[in-house]
Formats: sequence, structure tokens, C-alpha cells
Amino acid sequence: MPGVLVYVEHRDGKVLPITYELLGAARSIATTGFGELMCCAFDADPGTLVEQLDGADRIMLIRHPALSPYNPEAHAIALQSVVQSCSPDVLLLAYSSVGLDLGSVVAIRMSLPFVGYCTALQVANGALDAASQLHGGKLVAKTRTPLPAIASVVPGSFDENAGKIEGRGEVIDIAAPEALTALRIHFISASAPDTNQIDLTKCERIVCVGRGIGGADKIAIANDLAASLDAEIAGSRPVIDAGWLPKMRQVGKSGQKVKPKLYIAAGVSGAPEHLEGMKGADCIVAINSDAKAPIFEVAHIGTTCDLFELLPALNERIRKS
Amino acid sequence: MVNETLAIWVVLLGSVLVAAWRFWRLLRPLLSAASDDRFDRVADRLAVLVTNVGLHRRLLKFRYSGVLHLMIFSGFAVLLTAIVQSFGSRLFPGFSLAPIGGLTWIALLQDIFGVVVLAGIFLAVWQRYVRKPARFEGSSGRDALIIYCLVVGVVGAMLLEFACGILAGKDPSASWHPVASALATGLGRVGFTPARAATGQVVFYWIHVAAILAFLVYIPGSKHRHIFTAIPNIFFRNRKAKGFLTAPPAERGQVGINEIRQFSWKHMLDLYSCTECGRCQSVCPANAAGQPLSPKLLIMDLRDHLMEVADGATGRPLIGGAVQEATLWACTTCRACMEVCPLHIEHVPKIVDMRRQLVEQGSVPRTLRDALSAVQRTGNSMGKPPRQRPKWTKKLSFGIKDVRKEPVDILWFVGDYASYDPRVEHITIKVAEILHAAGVDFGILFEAEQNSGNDVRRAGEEGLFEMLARSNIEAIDACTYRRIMTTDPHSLNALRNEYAAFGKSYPVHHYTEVLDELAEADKLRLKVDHGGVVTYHDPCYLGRYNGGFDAPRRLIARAGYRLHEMGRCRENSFCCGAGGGGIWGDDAGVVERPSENRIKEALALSDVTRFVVACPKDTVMYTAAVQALGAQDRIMVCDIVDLIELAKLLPE
Repeated sequence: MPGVLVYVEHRDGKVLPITYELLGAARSIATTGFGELMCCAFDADPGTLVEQLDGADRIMLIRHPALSPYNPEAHAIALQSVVQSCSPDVLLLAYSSVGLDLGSVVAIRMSLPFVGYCTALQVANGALDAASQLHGGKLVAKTRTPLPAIASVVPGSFDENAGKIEGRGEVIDIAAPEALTALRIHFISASAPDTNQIDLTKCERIVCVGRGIGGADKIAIANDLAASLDAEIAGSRPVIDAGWLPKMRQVGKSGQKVKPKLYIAAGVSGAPEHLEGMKGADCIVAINSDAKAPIFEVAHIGTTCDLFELLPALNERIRKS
Repeated sequence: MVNETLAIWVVLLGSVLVAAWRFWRLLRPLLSAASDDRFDRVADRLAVLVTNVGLHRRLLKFRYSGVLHLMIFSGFAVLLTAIVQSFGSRLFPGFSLAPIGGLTWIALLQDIFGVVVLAGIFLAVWQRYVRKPARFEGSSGRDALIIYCLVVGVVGAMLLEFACGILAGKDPSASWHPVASALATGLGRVGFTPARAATGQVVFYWIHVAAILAFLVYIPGSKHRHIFTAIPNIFFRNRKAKGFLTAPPAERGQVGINEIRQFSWKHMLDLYSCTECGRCQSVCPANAAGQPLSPKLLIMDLRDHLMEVADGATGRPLIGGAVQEATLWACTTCRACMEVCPLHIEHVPKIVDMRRQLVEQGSVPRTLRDALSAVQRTGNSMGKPPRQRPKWTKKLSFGIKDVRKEPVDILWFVGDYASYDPRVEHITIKVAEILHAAGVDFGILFEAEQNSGNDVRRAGEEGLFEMLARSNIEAIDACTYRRIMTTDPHSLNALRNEYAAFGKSYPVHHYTEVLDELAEADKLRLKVDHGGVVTYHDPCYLGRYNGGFDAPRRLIARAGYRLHEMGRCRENSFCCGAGGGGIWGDDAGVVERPSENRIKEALALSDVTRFVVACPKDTVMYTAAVQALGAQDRIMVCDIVDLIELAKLLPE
């Protein structure tokens, strides 16, 4: 019996939120009187995943060592075999790096149409009607595609909760395809990116501390404010020199040139090299006890308040609001 | 004897042929290399051979090494007589130096200088294995050791040959061989009979000859090539202005260099002349800062690459293979390496030529790229509006002349930092006020002035340099003036030397020179009642590049201050790190900024409270360095002009 098939994305034994969105989307299609809600999960040991997939009617599992950790070639082979065995009308994938890996491969191998960047989906009259985001959401394209079809869904478009309930949860094991034993891509290692790696040039809000902060131990005050504002902490050259913050957080000519929407300069006097790195910010708030400090020449709002009083007070006010 | 003659002919010719073949393999690439006109001013070129080869002027700047080199060098000059004697007597039976004193004073000199060479080798060994100066890091220790052994072999065998001859009673010059005679006495005591000594004389003769020929054959593959290459390399040294970089030759067909074969024959000869002494490394600010540049290793890497390529290896590229990009960008073009190199090797032009290629490819560090595009857009590296260039003049007590509109005596080319930087502005204003007070007729170009292009050119951006130079030349040539003045040594160098690329050389003076002249002519009267002890930093582009050492010092004295010199002063000054585009760099890989290293040197002079500079970039660099070191309460960075206070009461 045909229906909607969802590819389950998971990492470290946990089903990722986007999968629930997909199940929610699939459910909305399925409740329009359209077949069954199926999902497929591939792993060396998919047992723990089954418990997390209450939203599906049928859960198709392929169990094979080559499927874990994620390997695009292996998962494409597995997905293709599931699609072949259950012939869904719609296959839903996330618009994620995994979804992009698999959707296009399966589409080509099975000669199916593939609709990308979907934010809304509907099945009517034997066709998939989709709305797709273009140019980062500046345009919306509406398309109609004959079934069967593949669609990739932009995360955040559907309700996660709708994908967590109402499923029958029937588990079906599918035999692992032979081809999984003859892969050409081999997983070697995974390394997590350094969480300290930040790109100040892309931040919308920055709290920058200068020599006026006085010491590494005082940076916590600015850090608290940054956390409340969802901002990144940065420093002027003397702060980086003193080792109070890492080099990648330096703003200025010999550091990063930034253009955030909000730039709070606390205890920064504003050497020309610093100004060169931040004067393009949309709103600059300068806090410096020296009223003659050059930072005030570029600031939109300036104060000579004691930063050790102002920052905590500001922080408290923002938290309360 | 016939057999001996034949044998010596065979070994000598054989060794000469092998050595010649080895040299030929090395020198082949020079024959097909790009041309380089180094044949002008022959008399002057010869004169420097006397001072720098004969008198060891540069070598002796490193006293210990210079002295030991002079001992070995002079020793071998004298021992050439022994070599001539050894080979001559066998090659041409009957040949002797006796008629010109071979048995008397020449014999005496041979003994004395034999000992001098051995003492020199002892000092060298002591230096390399006990004193271990950091500049030897990366040099070949094995090569040095082999050479020490060969030299000891040559000289030791010679002395022992003489001693055996004396002991065998066959040496008529015995009384002129004090050292060999003493050795003979010693040998006699340990049981050497005259008969054995006669055999020994022959054996040591052949050891002596073998060591000399081994030396000859070994040299082409060794840093001791310099025995042959030093004289031509110094003779063909650069005689153009120090501050003039050669433009890319048209026949190269590209702006920069990305293959070793594109270097001119002289640049290749440089590579073969390097003795790995590391003097350049020890004075390099980038090296001291912990950046990946040693001028010595750069030359050695290029040399090894040239040899590979000459041997037909095509594997490694020049840039990114033999030399890393980060190495090329680390150079501040301060020229300390070139100034100290006893062989007059030219490091900086090679680096700039390779940078030109990186710029052409677009492989430029981000911060430098930003600065260059700011210069292109606005004519200044800060990216400020050109109209703001003369903004500082609004604070003057008088109206400054616009040279574009009226003739003046002095056209003041202000420069980027002196015009725009708020930390330098007060200095620029004070210079203007002093000139005005002294009645000098001067004016500026207002927004017609652009960055002089000195450091743009050194960053390898030849096209942008040309644009800036042409624009400035056009602006200057449209004015009427007698001479040009600037406070910025970098602008001074560009106007005086670099614009020669477009056939221009302007009569440009540093402001210290102008102020000193005014004081000398009594048009400027300084208050001298404050005093104090200061130290002075020679800017690279004023001092080392343009010889402006004395005017700043005279002004400091005129202002009543006592100058306490740092160890690294005048041509040995230590760059602040800003030159050659360094001020636009991102400090990547810097362990200690050169500017901070320098301030520490000044702080070590306990009586000094002012760090005096004469360059706008220095004001910026050292002010930041003093702050970074938290030494604001111990030393103050000030420009020379900050020391000058005018006497209010001029009698006239």
C-alpha cells in the first residue's frame, strides 16, 4: 500500500528534531486521506531509535554495520532499497546536508522528481503541491509535481509535536542490501569543530572589552551581559595581548573588522586601529570613564559611567524584560 | 723524481678538473639567467673590495668572528706561498722561492701564520661548539667540521713536513722556521731518527698536498665556495640607491617571480655566496618576533632549490615549495640583513620580487589586502576620505599655503600617518608652527597628495605603486617650489629614490635636516634649559636607507638633551616592525613584537625617560608598544619635535 515515507535522521542514537517535523508534515498529508505514514531508519543497531518513533505507522529498519556512523553511500543504497520495496507516493527528507546527500541520489537512481526547500506541502489530485523558499526566503515558489515524488523540507516549517503521536509503530525489518558490503566510501574519523571558533564578522551583537576592564577576572561581567544579549564577547588589542581573550576575538586592524547591529565598547579608548575595525557597526554604545576618549567620536550612545556598575545593572534589566 | 713529477701533475690536473666540473654544474644556471647591469662605477666597486675583503670592515662588526676570520684569511694569504712552493717544486723540478726569500723571511712568515691559522681554527671551534651563537641555528655543522679538519690537515701537515725536513738535516732554512724547529726538537725527543724523519717529510708532503686538493674538490659543494664567490659577489654588489627597488624587467614577461630561474645572474650568485654565518638572522626583526623568516634560511632554501632545478628536478614550486608564503610576508624590508651581510647579499629585493607574484595571484593576507584596497580607493591606507587629508591644518594658528596655487620655497609632502593619525597630528602641527615661526615659506598639496607608495611597492603591489607615483608626480610637477620636505621617512625614500622608476628624483629633505639647518643659520632659537636623558631610534628609511643619522642627533643636542644610545643604533637600528607593509599585517605568529623588543632595550638604559623617534609610524608603533608593556610611567615616546621649545625672545 502506498503512502508517505520519511527518512529518519539521527545522531548518537537520538532522533533529530527535524525528523519529527517530517513526520508531522507526513501526518498532515496522510490525514488528508492519503495512505500510510512510513518511516525508515538505518543503523548498525536501530533498536533504540524505534522507541523514539511513535509518530509513524510503519517503521522500516535496515540493520548493518556499514550504516553507522553515517556514510552517504551506504544510506543512499539503503534508502533506495526501501523505496523500491514500499513504493511510497512521497519521500520526505530534511533540507539538511544528509537530505541533500540522499535526495538527489535516490531521485536520479529511481527517476523521481525532487522538490527542494519546501516550507509547505499538500497532496491533491495525484500531485504534490509545494511551496519552496528561494533566495533565503525573499521569494516563495509554488510548484505542482506528479506523484511519486521526493521533497526536502526546510527545518522549522512544521510542528515537531505533530510528529510524535498517533502512529501504530509496526516494525518491519528489511534485509540489508548486498551492496552495503562493497562500499567505495569508508568512514575514517569524525572530529567536532572547536566550539571556541567564532567568526566575529558574522555576529549581530558584540560586547567588546578594552584595557579599562582591568583584568581577566573582570571579563565575566561583560560575558554575562553578552550572554543576556545573545552577543559575542570581543576584545581590543591590549586585552588580547594580555591573554585575557583569545586572538580570534580581537577587533581592530590587526584582528577582525566587524559590522554588527549592536557594538558595546566597554573600557575601550578607541585607538585608530580599533576604530578602523568597528566604526561601521549600526549602533555603537561606548562606556569609558575618559570623556575625551576617541571612541566617543564614533559612538552613537556614550557614557562615562563606571562600567563595573553599568554592565551588571544593564544585564539585570535585560534579563528581567 | 720523474715519477713524483708525473704523479703530482696527474693528481693536480685531476683535482682541478673535478673542481671545475663541480663549479660548472653550479654556475650553469647563471649563464642563462636574466641580465643585470652591474658593470658601472668600476673604480668604486674595486675600492669596496679593499675595505670589505682586505680590511674585513663588515666582518669585524662581529668582533670575535671577525678577528678569527681575519686570522684564517690572512694566514691563507701567506700560506699561498707554501702551496706554490709545494706544487711548484714538484711540477717544475728546480723551481724554488728561495731567490725572493723562500728560505728566509717567507719561511718565517709561513711558520708564524701557520700558527695564526691554527689559533683561528681553535677560536672557530670554540665559537661553534662552546659559545654556540643562535645565529648558527639551521646552518650546516657538518660542513663546518669538515672544513676545520681540512684546514688543520693542510697547516698541520705543512708544519710537520718542515719539522721532519729540519730533523733530517735537509732544510737550509731551519733557523727561519722557529715553530717547525721546536716541533722537530719534540719529534726528536719522542724517538724520530733523521732517517725516519726523511721518510716523514715525504709522507707529510703528500698529506699536505692531498689536503689542499681535497679542499679544492670539496669547496664547490660547501659554503666555503665563498673563497671564490666573495670577491665577485662584493664587486657586483648593488650600487644603485639603497632605497630603490628594481622594477620588473620587461623581458621577464610577468611582474613577479615564481620560478627560481627568473632571478638575475647576480641574485643567483648571491645564493652561492652565502656562508651561512647567520649575521642576517641575528639582526632580523621578523626572526626576533618569532615569525617564520630567517634571511639566512631563505637564502639557503633558495640556493638548494636552485641546485635542484639546475640538476633537472622539477618537482617543487618556488613559492609554497622552496619558500613559504608566510616567510615572504614576514619581512619588514628594514634592510638590516643586507647591511650586515659580509658578502653584500641582497635579501629584500628577492623577497619583494616573490611578493609581487603573490599579489599578482591574489594570495595576500587579509589585513594587507584591506589596506591596499583602501589605498587604491582613497589614496591612504586608513581608507579615510581624501578631503580630510588637510584637516589637521584647521588647528594651525596661521593659514597654510596651498602649493597648487602659489609658489613656495618648501613643498611639504605630509604623508598618510602625519596627516590622518590622531596620535601624530600634534607633531605635524608643531612642525608647521615651528617652520612658520622660523619664517620658512612653505605649503602643502592638500588633497592632491596621496600615499607615497613606498610600502605599497614593498608589499609587492607594483601596479598600485605606479598609480600613486604617477599621481604624486603629476601633483608635484604642477607646483613651483625649491625643495621638498617631509616628516615621514617612507615618503622621503619614495620621493628621493623610488620615483626614479619614472625618471624622477626630487630634492627631498627630512624635517630634522631642515630644522637643524634653520638652527644652524640661527633662524630657529631653541630653549635649552630643560635637558634630561633620552634615547633615539633611527627609522630604517631615514637611517639605514638614506643615511640620515646625524641631523636628528644634532637636534637632540641643540634642544639640550643628552643622548644615551641603545646598543642597536645607526645602521644597526632595530626595525619597529611597521615597514614594507608590516604595519598592515595581522601579527600572525608573532611571539614578541619588534616594537616591544625595542622598548625593552630602551628600558634597560636605566637613566632614559624619553624614547625619541623621527617617523610618524614610529610614534604609532612605539606608543602602542609602551602601552602593551605597561611602561607608561617609565618611558615616554616622543618625536624630536616634542623636545623642541622655541625661545620666545628673538632679539630682532
